[in-house]
Amino acid sequence: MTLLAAIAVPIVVGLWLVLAGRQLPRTSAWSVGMVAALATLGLLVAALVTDSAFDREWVGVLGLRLALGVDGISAPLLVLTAAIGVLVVLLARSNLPTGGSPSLYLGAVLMATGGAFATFAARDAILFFVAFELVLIPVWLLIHRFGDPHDAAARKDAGLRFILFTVSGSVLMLIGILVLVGSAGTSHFDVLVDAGAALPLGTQTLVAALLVTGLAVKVPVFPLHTWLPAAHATAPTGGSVILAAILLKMGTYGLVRLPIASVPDGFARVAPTLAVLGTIGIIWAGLVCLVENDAKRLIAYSSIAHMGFVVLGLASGTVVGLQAALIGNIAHGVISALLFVVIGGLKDRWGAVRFDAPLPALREHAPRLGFVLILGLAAGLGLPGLAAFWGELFAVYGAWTSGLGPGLLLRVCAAVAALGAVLAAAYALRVGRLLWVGEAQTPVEPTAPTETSGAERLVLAALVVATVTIGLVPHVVWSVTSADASALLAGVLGR
Amino acid sequence: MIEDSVSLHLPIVATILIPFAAALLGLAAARRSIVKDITVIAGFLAVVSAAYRLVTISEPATGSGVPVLTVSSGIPEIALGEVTIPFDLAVGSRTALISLVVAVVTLAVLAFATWYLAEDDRLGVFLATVSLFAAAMQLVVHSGDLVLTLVGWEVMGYCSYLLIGHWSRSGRARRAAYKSFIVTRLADVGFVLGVVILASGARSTGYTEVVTHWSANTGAALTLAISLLVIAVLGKSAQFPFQDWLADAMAGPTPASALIHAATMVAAGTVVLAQLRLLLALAPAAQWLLAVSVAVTMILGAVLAIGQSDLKTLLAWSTVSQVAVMLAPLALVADLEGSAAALFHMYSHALFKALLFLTIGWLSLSIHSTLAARLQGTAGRRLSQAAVVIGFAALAGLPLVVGGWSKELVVATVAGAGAGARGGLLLVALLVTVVLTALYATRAALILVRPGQQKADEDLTTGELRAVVATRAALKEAQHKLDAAPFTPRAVIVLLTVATAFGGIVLLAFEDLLGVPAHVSVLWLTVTLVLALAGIALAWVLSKDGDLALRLGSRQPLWDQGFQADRAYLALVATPVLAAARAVRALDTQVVDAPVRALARQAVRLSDRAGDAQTSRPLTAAALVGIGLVVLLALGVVITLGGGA
Repeated sequence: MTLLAAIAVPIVVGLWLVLAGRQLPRTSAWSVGMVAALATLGLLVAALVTDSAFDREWVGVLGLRLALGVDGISAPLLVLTAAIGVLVVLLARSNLPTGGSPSLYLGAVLMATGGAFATFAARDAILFFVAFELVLIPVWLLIHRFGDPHDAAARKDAGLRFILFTVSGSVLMLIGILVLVGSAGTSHFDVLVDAGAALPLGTQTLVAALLVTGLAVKVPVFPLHTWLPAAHATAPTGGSVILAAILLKMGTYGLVRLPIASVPDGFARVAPTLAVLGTIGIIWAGLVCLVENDAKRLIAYSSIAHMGFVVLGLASGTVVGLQAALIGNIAHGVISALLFVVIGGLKDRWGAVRFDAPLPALREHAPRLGFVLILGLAAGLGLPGLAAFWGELFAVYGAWTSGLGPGLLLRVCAAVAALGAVLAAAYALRVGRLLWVGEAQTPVEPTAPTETSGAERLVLAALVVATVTIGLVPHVVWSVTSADASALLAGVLGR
Repeated sequence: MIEDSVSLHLPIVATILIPFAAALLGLAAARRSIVKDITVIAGFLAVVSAAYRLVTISEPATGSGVPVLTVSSGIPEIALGEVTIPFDLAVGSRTALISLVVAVVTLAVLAFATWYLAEDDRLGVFLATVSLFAAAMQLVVHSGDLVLTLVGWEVMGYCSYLLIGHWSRSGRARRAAYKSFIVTRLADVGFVLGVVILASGARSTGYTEVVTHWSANTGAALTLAISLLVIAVLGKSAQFPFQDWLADAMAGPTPASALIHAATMVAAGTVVLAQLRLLLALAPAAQWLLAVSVAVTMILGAVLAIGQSDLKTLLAWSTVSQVAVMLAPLALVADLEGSAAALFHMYSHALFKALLFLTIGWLSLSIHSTLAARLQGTAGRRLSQAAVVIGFAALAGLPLVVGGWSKELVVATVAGAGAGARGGLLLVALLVTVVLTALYATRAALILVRPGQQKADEDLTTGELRAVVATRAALKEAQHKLDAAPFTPRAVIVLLTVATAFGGIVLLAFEDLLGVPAHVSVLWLTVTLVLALAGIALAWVLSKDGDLALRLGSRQPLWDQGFQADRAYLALVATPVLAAARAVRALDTQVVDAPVRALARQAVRLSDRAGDAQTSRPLTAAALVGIGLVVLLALGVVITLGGGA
């Protein structure tokens, strides 16, 4: 019940804010949102402590059950989602985007959080799909209504593109789920694990191909990624944070839960292709970042590169790779959230953050914000001691030791991915040069006060602590995921 | 593992954690003056704990196992599927010795920097970064786990980026910092892949397990892994073809250079290869790679040092050359003796290079330049003269001072390893390097010690050499400021001078620390001495009419440009990568995204046509979604049927 409440609270409060709360003044709307976000976090913690689960028939005709539960794979993502929910609401105190009423914005944020909660907690494939789709609408609202107020066309384009892409992906995923559920005769994850693995190889491969393609849109995997930079460039800071830290994670989580867990043999057939595409994504996006001049688009492309490592880990079909993907997921969520808050805040204050014109040096004008930026960039390039290191190193390990794919294919992927990390260093420090120390011939003065303050500063502090903690003590994630990650792949390894 | 493992354990962990804690505290208090006390006291405590560890060490570093003994770092082991990360630390008399040297140099640098950068508004950040740098190096020194080594290795790289770019208001410093990080990071791909391969065989990242497994499984995989590690070492140690970043790194503050060159970054490769010597010995191809690179590098670095117009850059090239000397025995005989010679030279180099950098920094502070022409005759007083003479004598490898002992040991080890093409290559390169090193060391010492000849501007022929000439007034003022230097920098210089003068003899007295009896070979002592004296004599003759580098004439700028390696980097790496990046961006927007954009444009047009955007936008969007769903469903059914059939 606690788990159900943790899902219901943000959705119900969010819905109420969207529908009935439009007249609420800003501070009241914010207080309601904050209380709901904190309550969600509290309920989640309670649910984790009590190992809460819920299982009840929902739509009997379809065999759909309202089955909810938490395991080691979903627990870190649930914590990330709840924490990001609180931080995004907190950020709204100082950086509230225009484009609609405060309650509409906060309602959309809460609903997105609640939908993601349901996605991660679902123990039923159909329920997973419904929850997955539920997140779409509030996020579309965030992009379409609250996006960059200076550029209506870009907002429209990005919103539409987001819908087109993700709905296309969802349809493929739905077909995959239907085929899977139809042939396996169950939609419950716990039963699917055995029932799905027992399916003939042809069916497994078809299901895996459909599911992987559908979910690849959300991750996003090259070449299905072009919606992401557009969405990030336009979205308000809070929207970008939700996109990067929550939405993309639903894609990789789906990959773990559906194809890898349910149709392992089919996934093994698709995996080499996925690994290659993930690796291409690392290089492709890394190269784009070397010449991209819009800061938010650059961070978006860097997300594609980082998710490439996650995908590579997953596609290796090894426990090490899976573990790498799970920690990489969380790390990317925290780091990209941090970078988007920094860049988004600057964009709010300066109007734009572009690299084709000289920028004021943050190190001179806003040392605190500059410190957060350079720490975030260091984390982004995979520096040990910060969050992303573990996922990247062991994704390469997973690919190197993988038995999948013809010949040395995955080993080549591992080597190329390791080289991709050099591109990450090159573009991260390019941002450092242009924005942190400043490359202007004559120093540029900022047009507005630049230093971070208020709620934004609190949010950044929390994200810095998370980045460093995961980097220094990866045990916090791995001790949770370890048992279930091994169990999940036991079927694959047992063959 | 053994009974007193707790007492072994604590000082080691303390040596790593004290500077780490100082870095965190220092960062938090970066704007207050207390940061100086925090970091310097922590540096002192690290020395105490390292020294305590060295004194209480009981077992000599003998035996063939690497490492001698491991203890837990206190970090719980992680089991990640098939592979285990034990997070062990290694204990041995060698690690204790190197750790003490690192701690001493760090303390010297911290103390010196509080004076040298007293006016700097970012002194606090600088000191905190130096502390973090030292913690990372201590981690590498004590590591008994490949992952911990990689952590320290990479953190050092980032700290050097921050330190080299410390004066970020200067464009030169910004570029140098960027270049140093990218060049070393590129080489570090080798480290990552090497660690992955080694760990994937051993199913563990612990040194003990890795060495045990691979000693029994030699072959192509091991050769590949060790070659990759060697590439990473070449990058961090600024060996050919990665050598050029180190000279640019002189744009950083001098104390940072002292730290990077003497005891940390560039020397870390020697430590890692010495730890993994058993595996290195089993991969002759990797040793060949190392041998060719260091043979080229030691001569290249020495030749470049001869012609530098800037004395700080001269020291940088001398580091490049000397690190190659350090690595030479490992490239030939990666056993206990070979690594002992390498580590002994690392110890020597740490002491005399720290001394030389800090002395140059001391002499240059008041005249705001490290150009040879400006520094002429600045070492006029007794202390500075002693520091310069002893420091450069050690660099030249003269007997009795610290560098002489170790260089002789390196040469004797390489020569004693017997014949073979690799041995011959290294021995010839070493002997040539001995002459060249003595030559440029004498050149630099003469510039600093000999009173500046008052020359007319037209006598200085080239580039920057011509641009600046120290006037008598400036010199006088500089002397005055030097005399006014407070206790701290003087104490640091005195300490390092004494260490450089007697460090070799002290170490020989405790030869057990290196794990091998330090045999003095009279033959090679004589040969190196004769060659060094020849180099000194040559330099003396050539310097008759002032700085011998002036004889290079119009070709001298080539030396200042490191023989234009930077251009090669740009042409071979940077330009193609950027061209690829532009091509990829064009492809991304014009090819990958084109169908999507067309679709989106159609959709937007549809929605615009659908009527008043104000009221019906959500509706039309929903309709579009519906249409899209139907189309895709149809597509999906077709695929399903096709798949089923």
